[in-house]
Amino acid sequence: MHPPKKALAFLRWFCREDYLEEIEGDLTEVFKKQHESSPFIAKWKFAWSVVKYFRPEFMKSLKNYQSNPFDMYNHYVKISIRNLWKNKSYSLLNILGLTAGTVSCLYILLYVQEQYSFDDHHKNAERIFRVITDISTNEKTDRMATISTAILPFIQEDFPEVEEAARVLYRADVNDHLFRVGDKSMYVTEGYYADSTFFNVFTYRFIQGSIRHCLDKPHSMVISSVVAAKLFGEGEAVNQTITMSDNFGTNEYTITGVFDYNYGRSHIRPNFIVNIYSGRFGGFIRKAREWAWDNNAYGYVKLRPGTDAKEFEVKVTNYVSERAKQRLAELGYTKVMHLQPIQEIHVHSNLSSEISKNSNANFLLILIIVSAFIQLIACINFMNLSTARSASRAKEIGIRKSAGAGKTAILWQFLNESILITVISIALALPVLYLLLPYFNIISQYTLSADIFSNPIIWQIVIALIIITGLFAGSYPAFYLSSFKAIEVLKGNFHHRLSAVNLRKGLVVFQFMISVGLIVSVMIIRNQVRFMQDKELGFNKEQKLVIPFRSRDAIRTRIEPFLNAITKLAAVKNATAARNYPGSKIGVDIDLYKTGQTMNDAKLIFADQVDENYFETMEIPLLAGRGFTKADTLGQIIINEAAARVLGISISEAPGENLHTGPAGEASTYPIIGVIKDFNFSSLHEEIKPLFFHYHPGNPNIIVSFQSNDYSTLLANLETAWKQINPQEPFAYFFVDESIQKQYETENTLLRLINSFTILAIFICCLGLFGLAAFKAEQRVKEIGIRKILGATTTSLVALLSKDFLWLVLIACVIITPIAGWAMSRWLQDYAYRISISWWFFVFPATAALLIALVAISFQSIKAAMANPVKNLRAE
Amino acid sequence: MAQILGEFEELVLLMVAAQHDEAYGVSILENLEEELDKKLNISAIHVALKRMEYKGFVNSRFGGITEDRGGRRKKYYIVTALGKRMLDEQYTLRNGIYKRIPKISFG
Repeated sequence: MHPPKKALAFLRWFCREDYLEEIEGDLTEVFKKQHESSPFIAKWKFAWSVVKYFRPEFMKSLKNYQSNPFDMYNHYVKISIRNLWKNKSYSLLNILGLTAGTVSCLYILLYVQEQYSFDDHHKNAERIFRVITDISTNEKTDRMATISTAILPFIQEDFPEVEEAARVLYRADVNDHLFRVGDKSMYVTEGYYADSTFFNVFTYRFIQGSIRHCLDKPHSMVISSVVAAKLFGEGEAVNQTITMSDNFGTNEYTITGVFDYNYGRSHIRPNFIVNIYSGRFGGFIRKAREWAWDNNAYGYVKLRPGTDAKEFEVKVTNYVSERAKQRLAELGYTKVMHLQPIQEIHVHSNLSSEISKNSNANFLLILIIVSAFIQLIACINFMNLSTARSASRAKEIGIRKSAGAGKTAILWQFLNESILITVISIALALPVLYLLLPYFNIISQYTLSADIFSNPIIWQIVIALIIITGLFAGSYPAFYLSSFKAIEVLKGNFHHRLSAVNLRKGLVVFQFMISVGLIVSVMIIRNQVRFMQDKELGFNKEQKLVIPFRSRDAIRTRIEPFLNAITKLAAVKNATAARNYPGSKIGVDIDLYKTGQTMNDAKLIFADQVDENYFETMEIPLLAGRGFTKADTLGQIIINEAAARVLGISISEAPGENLHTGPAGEASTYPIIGVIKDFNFSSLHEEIKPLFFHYHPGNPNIIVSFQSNDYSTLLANLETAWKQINPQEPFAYFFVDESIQKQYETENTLLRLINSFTILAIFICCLGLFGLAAFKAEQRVKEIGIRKILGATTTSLVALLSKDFLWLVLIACVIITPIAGWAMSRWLQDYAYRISISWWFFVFPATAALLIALVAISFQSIKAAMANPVKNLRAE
Repeated sequence: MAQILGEFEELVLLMVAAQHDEAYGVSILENLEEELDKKLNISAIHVALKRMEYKGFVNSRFGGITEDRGGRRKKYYIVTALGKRMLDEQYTLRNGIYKRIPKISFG
């Protein structure tokens, strides 16, 4: 018998109050009459009528609607602005701190957001996976980002779940490809061999040419917009012919398309892609039959909608194990296949054989945590300054409360105030970030483009940041201030509550804990980096440079003439042709075992290929046996100490032993002729691994050992020799110590980032301390005046005012020392060669923090201590 | 401002005048439905009443509480002098024109 509740509630919500009673009454009366004949129609009619009232004349006017809160809000904003203006210096400290914090926070958030959005732009990205392989032997399991080259086409053929599949390959030891078009030539890196289906799996935007069928024919090539601009400028690139040379040979390619290099971010970042069966390398791929070895292809599959990736993983594993059963058994391997969602690769996958350098979830987490801490320090400044200065607002609160303001109303007022300050800070931070973006990019070694300012995501982040920062900074002051008792503050006996004073001290301690912790970590990272740069590596890295040969013809025929030419130069001590150089990754490893053992006992040993002058040039001492001669073409090898150790051969007896690889019957044999002293051929993250060398004269990288300080003459002479012998390729060189340095790029980036964070943290801390010291001095101005009159010296007064704060900093140092020590020793665990943490890593930051704090406080303390006491005391 | 009286408003105003001092939303609705022999929605009546009140053709007052209305008071409407004049004008106008219709049989 009652009118529908929802309709009635809706009517009451929108209908103006002076009409409501009449309308509701009339509606109810009509409803009741109707209800007697047909309850159902009555209900519908009632609801329909309510809807018909939903028109402007019957609605509550917005102006009248809850007019009080709206006016109150205006009033709050006005009071906030007046207060900001009245206490300009404190407002400036707050806003400056928050702006500085926000700028770094915003940059980090945008950076992290971009890292997490890698590969999001592909159509149906959630259905695209990379197939990866776990290979287990008796000893260990290796996870590879790749699969055997031959497998993927069969998977595509035999599994209906696979909608599209594509392989991507590249040669780790071929980095530079020489492109020649007419008389223009340039080196291009990041080139991939891909199946013609590549663009069916991945989404690219083509600027020229068609994405369809662009990779169908061998020797067809698509290039990035960047390469196209360099080679062809504005002109048409499609159908042009490029001659590409690398140490796999020289081939002509026809360009079939140009894709936009800046569209989307992907873990595959090609400069060019060629059809998978192109050139000599393509020939190897075509011939690939191996299902156990040859894990060189990155395999991508796009699954049909509704396919369960986990189930598919199991099916593929079974399929591969079944088809490669015999081969795997021979080698003593088991293979398990996994699917990686491509959107997760960039942040979550960190395998040794990634196609390009990925980001790292832990690294991003550290960045977020540190930037959150910076923002926290800025928030603490706001909390401390506003609670410390609450006495000045106490009367206002008292009057508001006696005029009827509730606790919530006051709470909202102060939250409004903190949000207003946050809004101002962020409004300042955005242009600052825009201007400083290039500098931030230098620090992070990443290109965050200015396009982000037109990306809607930035506004989501900004709004979230305003709300979080505003509420966080404002909540404590708001609760504190709104709890004042009207009678007490109006009577004039206002006391800072002890809990608030203690909390303030606690917060200052916290701020300095973070700052000191950051200084400690900067020092430890810096020392570790320096340690890695300076450590003896087992060879001489000074006064050495590398000249790479890139084209196959040149490597075959011109290495020897070039070596002969340059060793005649006076400054050149020695020169050698090697496959790898310090700082490059040794890409080949082979399972080797001693005579009398089988493949099951084999140990994985890295393989390098060098000529007879290598050890002399690198200054690596020979411990037993002899070095290479030109006659060592029968698989003779030289091993390092680590290899002798894992194989269980004593160094003196090693020369004369034979090593073998491969299953019984088809095993190859390598006689050991010498043992060299261990040297660090890879970065210092790793222990020295087992390694062997075999003899081969025509290797692409010429390592030159020289003795000269006149680099320009030396380089000019080397270039002259190059031009005479190998005029087709541009002369290029780099120094060995630089190449070693490049291995520590991540550490250097981390160092630069933490360094800037530290400076920022200290700066914001000092702003806060400066504000608090100013406030303290202002509060104690009479006390200081009286002390001074009674004979206190300026020094003793400065000490009196500074002492409290310095205690806090000291406490912070004591608390943070074990935490930072623990965290940094965890960080150092990643390095096989690391510094030991010593006491001065903590004493120095503590001293620095104390000194910096002292400077921040003393400005105010000295000002107060020097002031003329008469001026301050005469007022009463 | 020229005062305008819409067609439906005129009907409602006539009913308010006819039910002198006893007219309220539902009574107007029911009587009009009866006269016109078609269903009306109460909201249409209210729209007309509120507009005429704004234009000054009717005045309103609250009446007593009745059980039927879920404890809500009735709002009674009464025609104002201006409203009455408006009705008179309309009547004269229509009557005048009506009278000019020639006496021809339309049978």
